[in-house]
Amino acid sequence: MNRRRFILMMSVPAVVILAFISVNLYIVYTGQEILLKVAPVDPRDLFRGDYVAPTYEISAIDLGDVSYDTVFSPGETVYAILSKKEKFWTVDSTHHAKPLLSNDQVCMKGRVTRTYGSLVFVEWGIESYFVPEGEGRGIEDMRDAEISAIVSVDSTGSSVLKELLINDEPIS
Amino acid sequence: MEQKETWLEKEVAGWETEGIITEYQARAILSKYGLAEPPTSEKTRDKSRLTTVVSVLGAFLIGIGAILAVASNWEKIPDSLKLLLSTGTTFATYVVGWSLKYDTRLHPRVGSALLFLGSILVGATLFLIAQIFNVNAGTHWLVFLWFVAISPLGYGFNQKSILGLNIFTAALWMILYASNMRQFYQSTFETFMLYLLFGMCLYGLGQVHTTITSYAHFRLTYQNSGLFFILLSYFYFSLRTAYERIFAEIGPKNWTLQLLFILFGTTALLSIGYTRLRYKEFRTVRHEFYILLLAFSGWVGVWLLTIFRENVTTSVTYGNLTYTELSSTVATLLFVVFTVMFFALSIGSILIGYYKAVTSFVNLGMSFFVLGILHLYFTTLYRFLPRALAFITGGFILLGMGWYLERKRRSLIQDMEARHE
Repeated sequence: MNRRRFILMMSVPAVVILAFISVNLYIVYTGQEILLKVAPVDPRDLFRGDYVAPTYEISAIDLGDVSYDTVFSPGETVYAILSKKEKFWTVDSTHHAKPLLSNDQVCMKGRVTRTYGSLVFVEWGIESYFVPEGEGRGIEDMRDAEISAIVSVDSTGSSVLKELLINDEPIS
Repeated sequence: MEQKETWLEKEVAGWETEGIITEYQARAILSKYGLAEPPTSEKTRDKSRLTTVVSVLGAFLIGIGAILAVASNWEKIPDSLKLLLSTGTTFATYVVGWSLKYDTRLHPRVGSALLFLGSILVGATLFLIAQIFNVNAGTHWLVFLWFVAISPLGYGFNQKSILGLNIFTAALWMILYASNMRQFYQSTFETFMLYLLFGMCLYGLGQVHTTITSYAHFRLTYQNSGLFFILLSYFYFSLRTAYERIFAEIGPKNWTLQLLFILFGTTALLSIGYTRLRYKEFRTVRHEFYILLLAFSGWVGVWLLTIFRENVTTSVTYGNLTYTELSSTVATLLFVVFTVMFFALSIGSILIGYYKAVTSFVNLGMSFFVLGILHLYFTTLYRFLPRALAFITGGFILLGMGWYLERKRRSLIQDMEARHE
């Protein structure tokens, strides 16, 4: 195999790795930062180690409290409009397609995992926060502390969990 | 002249398929006419094989170490530096591997091991990026990205170990994808339905590779994996739990799963058709044809069962809980049918291995046969005996079976080797 063919082949993993980094960097640097309220637990991922699995207030949406277009089924994509209330951002309405937004709103895209009565449980793709080995349990034990998350949301509704805060102080 | 060469290549491939000659002998014949690289001598081959095994094992351990290092998430190193180190190490490994194998050709086997290590490190790098950006744990598409990133490299570097890693990442992605839709336990029925077709598809791909001279050595990688997934799926379908606990809870499949079923199903059917064509040409392929046909007919049976699920299940209310249940008679019937099919397939793979002189098929068939016997023992006979007696009897059965099967395996392999001398 000559050098040219080798470089051509190496371009495939290089493109995949670069694209993966770029997409996430785009969300982090161009997205709007919002603050969400959190309740954590501490599992472990086989490949990536300890992480805190935050459950957000917006992880369970009560359709009795917010407006929606039609009812949701598990597996469906949900677009939620959020706006800032006193401190945290909360859901105003839910939709099956990306709606128009005003300046003080953001739209987050997620997947419905299950429904129970008027409750819709949503996975937003920000349910893991990776921490150094052995530190996850410590965070889980801080049950009395106020835990929140800084999330970056881009114009397509994709989001990246940037940081977890305990009593408004960054964890790391 | 060119016509004669093509004729010889076809003939040699045919002889190899029929088990008349080994891969080594096929290469020796082709190399005599300048149609392939000359094979190394048997002794050198054994030594080279040992070097390859040791190098690949070393690469594998380093790769696992790298993934675990990523998992420990050292806070002392900034994310950007971690990323630079990981990406740099990955591509440096590839460059050194390529240099040793193709450029300087000083240590081709170590070079191959490094190229394999590079492919594991691609996965470690992707997991690191996912960790930095807090991508959800257990996300299936991360493994899919890994699969995509290394997919051309098995053929590009003409390397079986990378192809094996590709098959592994594809299989891992499937199980993660299916379990992402519902819980892992509940999604196993669909996963093994998919694995069964995937196995047949791989086996078929292996057969196609016998006709592609430059990639003929990929045949066994595909066929071993294919046979493994076929037997593994049938082992799952021979478990009562699959019908009593999981089958009744199957949910609607999403379009990606349906697309995979169509894709693998079509390829599996093509594999059967292709084997049927070869069966006309080479009589020894007939075992493969029957095995694939039997495997596919079982899949059709399982698929029909999912289609008419409501006809064989009943709704049960227990307190406030309502769930669906498969009748005990149907569950027993399915258990018996699929257990028989599982043993037929295990014996079938031993037969294919014997007639085609492929030791790995014999070993795979034997291993699953033993697994099946163990399963039967612990799920049926065990229940009828007092616990202490059951363990003692089980121990004796295992020891006796181990002794007998190992003797049988050795005699089969000796017999196979004798036929080739």
